Order: sequence, then structure tokens, then C-alpha cells
Amino acid sequence: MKVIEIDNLVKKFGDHTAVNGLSLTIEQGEVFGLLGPNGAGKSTTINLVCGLLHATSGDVKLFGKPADAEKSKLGFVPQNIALYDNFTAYENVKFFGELYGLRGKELESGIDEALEFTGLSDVRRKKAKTFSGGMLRRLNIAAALVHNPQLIIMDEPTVGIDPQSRNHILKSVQRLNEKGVTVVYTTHYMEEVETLCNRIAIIDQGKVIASGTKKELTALIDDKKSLHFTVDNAFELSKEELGQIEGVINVEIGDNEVQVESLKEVDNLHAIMEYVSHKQVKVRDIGFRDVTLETVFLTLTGRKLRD
Amino acid sequence: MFQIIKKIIRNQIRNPKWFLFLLIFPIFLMVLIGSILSGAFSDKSNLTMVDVALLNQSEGISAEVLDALSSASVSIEEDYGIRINYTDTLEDGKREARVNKKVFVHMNKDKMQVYGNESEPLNTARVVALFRSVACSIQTVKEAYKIDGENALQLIGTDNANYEVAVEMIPSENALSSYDYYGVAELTLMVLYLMLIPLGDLFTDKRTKVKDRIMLTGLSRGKYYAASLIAYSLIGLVVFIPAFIFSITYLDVNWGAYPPLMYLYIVLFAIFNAALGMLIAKLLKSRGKVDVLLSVLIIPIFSFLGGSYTPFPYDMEGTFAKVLLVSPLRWANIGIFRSIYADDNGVLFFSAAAFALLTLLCLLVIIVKDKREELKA
Repeated sequence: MKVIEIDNLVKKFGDHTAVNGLSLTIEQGEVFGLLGPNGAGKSTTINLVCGLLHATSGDVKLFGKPADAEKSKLGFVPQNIALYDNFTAYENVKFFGELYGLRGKELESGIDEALEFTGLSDVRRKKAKTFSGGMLRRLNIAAALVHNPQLIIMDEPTVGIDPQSRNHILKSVQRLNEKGVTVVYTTHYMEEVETLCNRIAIIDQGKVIASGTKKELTALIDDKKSLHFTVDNAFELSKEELGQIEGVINVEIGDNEVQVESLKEVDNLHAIMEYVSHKQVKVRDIGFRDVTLETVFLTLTGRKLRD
Repeated sequence: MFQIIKKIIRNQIRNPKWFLFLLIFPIFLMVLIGSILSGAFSDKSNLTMVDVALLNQSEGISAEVLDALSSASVSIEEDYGIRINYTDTLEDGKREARVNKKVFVHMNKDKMQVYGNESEPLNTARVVALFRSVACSIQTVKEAYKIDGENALQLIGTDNANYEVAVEMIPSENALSSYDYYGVAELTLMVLYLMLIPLGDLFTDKRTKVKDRIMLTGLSRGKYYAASLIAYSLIGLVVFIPAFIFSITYLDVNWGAYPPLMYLYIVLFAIFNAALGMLIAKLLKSRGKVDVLLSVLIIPIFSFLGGSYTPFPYDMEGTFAKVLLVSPLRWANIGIFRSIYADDNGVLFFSAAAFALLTLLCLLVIIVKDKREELKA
């Protein structure tokens, strides 16, 4: 069953086109990732799907019906912490549960499940303003789960939180999906999409530039290879100099990690090692890895996800 | 809708900054301004008792003046506020004037010398005026006897000599005291500040996008704003009760024959202000602009024109009177004062109807504007 059908969606803000003829179909039970850099049009697309924005043209259907008719089946986790900080976790979730029309035992069990699911049961009587950033993000999710929606849309739910809360949220998404809930997950963190999503749409400048499973997407650039090596003193290396080696298309240098993307047909391993050796950099570990979605995005757009 | 009402009230209880301000500040203002400006409304003489230190070494006309004062039918102390104490020496008398700020009168043979403390010139003038008037009267009568003794005797011997200016004391109970005025004016002023609560709440809902989330639950915009207005109306109903009761019980403010009805009128004015606050929050996008608009324009102008600090007569006419009507505070204050003191409920009923209609109009504009924004979004 098609949970979301987006057909040639266009959204203009004055002269700026935020969403430019975007089409997508999301099936029931999927965890669908919308991946793209900031300003790509992910949030605008989400807001159009939820009915918070009106499309300039195009059509959105939820569960085969006009989006407005099926709002109650939708749970939305906004990018902002859309909660009352003077309210306790329980009161915040209850407020939204009541607005969705839940009453009595149904409401109480909805609240319990949502707080349990997000790991906030122990702090249900504490006010939101006492919560850490990660706990607030989890409460933001709990408020969207209270009415047991069939579709959850999460707009960058892990922005600015600690790794522990991030892992909790990612696991929660997986558990939701196991319960049969369809999840639409937008992010610019490539690793999250790779971990969670069955299918992915890469969005840039308001358009879907590629979509499919991770395998399908990486297959789009199967002419690339990715060399990773761990070194002691990466600062001795220059991105520009590595980039001048034949076949190299992208270089990332971290504190101790170096990643060099190259064309598969060019055998440049020797040249790369020679350069590293020339710089008197000690290599601890080396190997080829799978091409990431980051590389896919870079190849398709010429830009990085976090540019 | 009930959830929105409950949410707003709970939010005010949890974060009671404005609620406490509206609860306590009217009482503070009533007492402060009412007492500071009590002189402008006082129904009692504010002249204080003047103490006179008198050194009696009188002879001739001076002695006659003292005799006249002591045998006068009126009480110098009660009717003129002048209390005479005798002193023994010139030095004692001067010290009383210098240290105790008394007026020192030295009746020296047929001359009268007055020493006044320079910080109390009015007291000195009052004493001089009393003694001089008595001396003048005595001398005038003497001169009259010299010119025509028979006529003078006839004149002084009749009732004409005791001619007094007729004085009728009017009861002060109906006079407007400063507390009567500022009890009303400061409460209505604080009602104006009620608009700050919806302003803060609606901007927070907008900034955190909680409102978007609420809309996703299927609640209509009309219900969201109507519920908000009901919640702020309930806050307005409750928050001014302590100040109102305080004004009656402690300041004895005159709220007319039916104080509860007058309070309901104030609540209606509060509802209008809440709606005005919601409208401002809807029309202006920037919180900064709103704060400037309120602190520089709306509240100072409305409160000045409304007579919150400077009382303007409620029966004024002319161009300035029309300018004053720009402020809804003026409507409220005129309505209340005319009802209490002129037995005229016309302005009260008219302004009550105007507040009710304007409240509905504000709500309508808010909903239409919000709907337009939704369609534009």
C-alpha cells in the first residue's frame, strides 16, 4: 500500500523555488530517508506533506486520499522542540494526546507507551525545561507517538544532541518500523540514513536527484573506490596535493583518518602511498571500503552533504 | 478547545510572572499614586496648626489686641489654627522661632514685633494677618468714636457690629478622593497590561512552532484562537479581584451602588485588551517591534490620554476631549466615573457594547489573517 504519493510537487517562495517538481512514492512499512544538505528542500517537502504549507502546484496523497483527510494517521516530529517547557513530560504528551481526541484509558496507555518507547518514563513528572537536549528531542518524538500514528515523519530529529540520545532515537525508529509504522526520516547525516532506511531519496535544490536502496544508489557510482588509512600525523598531508594524484576525486582528512575517493579504473594506490611516505607520515592501518552515500551525493551534485 | 484553555491557564500558573504583576501591581499603584496625589483631591484643609510663642509686655494698643483675642467669640485655635503659648523672655521666644519653628510675637508696650522662622513664611504671614486685623479693627473703632461718637455707638451697639460672613459647611462624603479616582484609574490601567499575556504566549507558540503542531492535530484555527481568548478572559476575571476588593475594603474606593456589576464591566474591558494583544501578536511578526510599539506608543499614550496619571474631568468638551477618546482607557474611566458620580450609565453601556464588538472584530481579523497566511504558506 502506498502511504505517501507525491506527484510533481512545486513550492515557490517569491522568486525562490524550494521544491521543484518533486515526485516520490513511499510504501507502507518502509523507513524512507530523505537525504540532502541544508536548504535542499527536505523540510519544505515534509511541511507540504503534513499540510503545514500549501503547494504551488502538484499533489500529495496520504494513504491514497488527499493529505488533509488523513492527518490523524500522521505523527509529525518537527525540527524545533515544539513543546511547553513549563510542562512535565507527561503533561506535554497528554496535551497532544487530548488534542488528537484520546480520552481515558486510551489516553493514559498512549502516554505510557510513548514515554516508555522514548525512555522517558522515569522522568515523566519532571518539567521539560530541566531536560537535556537529547531528552527534549525524545520528548518531541513521544508527543508525536501518543496517538499511535501509522505514519511518522521525523524532520532532522537528531540535530544537536549527544551520541547516547542519538543512538536511542535511531533504535526507537527501528523499533517503530518493526511494529509496522511507516517512517519518513529527513537528515543530512548520511550515516543515519545508511543505518536506518530501506529506501533513500537524495534531494538537492528541491529535486530528487536519485532514489532507491543504498545498494541501488551506490551502484550508480560503482566506478568509484574509497581508500581509508589511519595515520599518526595527518596534518602533514595536504588535501590539495593528494587531490592532484591521478584518479583522485575527493579527499577527506580528519585527525588521524584519511579517506581518498578515486576512479576505480585508475590504479593510483602506489602513487598515494608514495606521497604519504614522502611526507614521512606513519600509516597504522589501510584498506578499501564501500562507497558511501556521501560519495554518491558528491558525485551526483559536485558538492558535499554538509557544505 | 478545553485543552487549549487548560494549557494557557496551566502555563500562567507555572510561569506566573505576568499574572503576579497584574495581581499585585494595581494595589501598589492605587496606594502609591493615591497617597502621593491626595493633595489634589483632598476634602480637608491642609493648613497645619501654627504655634505662637508670645512675650507679653504689652501696653496700649498691644494690650487691647490681646484682650480682644482672648475675649473673642471665636476660638483662635480651632477656627484660625493658631495656638498661643506664652514665653518669659525675648531670648526664649527667639529660640522657639529658631529651633521649634514657632512664630514669636513680642508685644512690647504699644508695639508688636513678630519673629518668624524663614522656613515657615506662611505661618508667619497667618499670625501677622490675625494680629494686624484685630489691631486695625480696634483703631478703626477708636477713630470712628473720635469723628462721631453717637453714630459710632449706635453702629457698634447694634447687631451690625457682629456682622459675620455666613458660612455653610457642605458634607464631604460625596467628594471624589484621590483613592476614589486612582482606585479606578490604576485598575483600568493595569487591565490594559493584560494584553501582554496573550502577546507573550502567541509569540512563543509561533516561535517554537507549537502552533503548527497543534494545527496538525486537526484543531481549527477558529477554535484555537477562540479557546485562547476564553482562557485570557478567565485570567482577566480572576487576576484583578484582589485589587478590586482591596480598593473597596482598604481604600474605601467608591465603585457606585453595584460594585460587582462594575467589576464585570472591568472584566469586559480586560477581554477586549486580551483580544487586542492577540491581534497585535498576529499582525506583527517581530517581537522586538511589538515591544517597542507597546512601550513607546500604545501603553504610554493610552494611559496618559486615559487619565491614569493626570485626571482629566469626565465632562470635558472641545478638541482635546476628543483626542482623549483615542484611548479606550478613557472610555472605560468616563463610563465608570459618570455612572458613579453623575448617575449616567450611557457611556458605560455604550463603551461596554463597543468593547464587546471590538473584541469580536479582533477575533475575526485574527482568524481571517491566519487563514490567509495558511493559504499563502
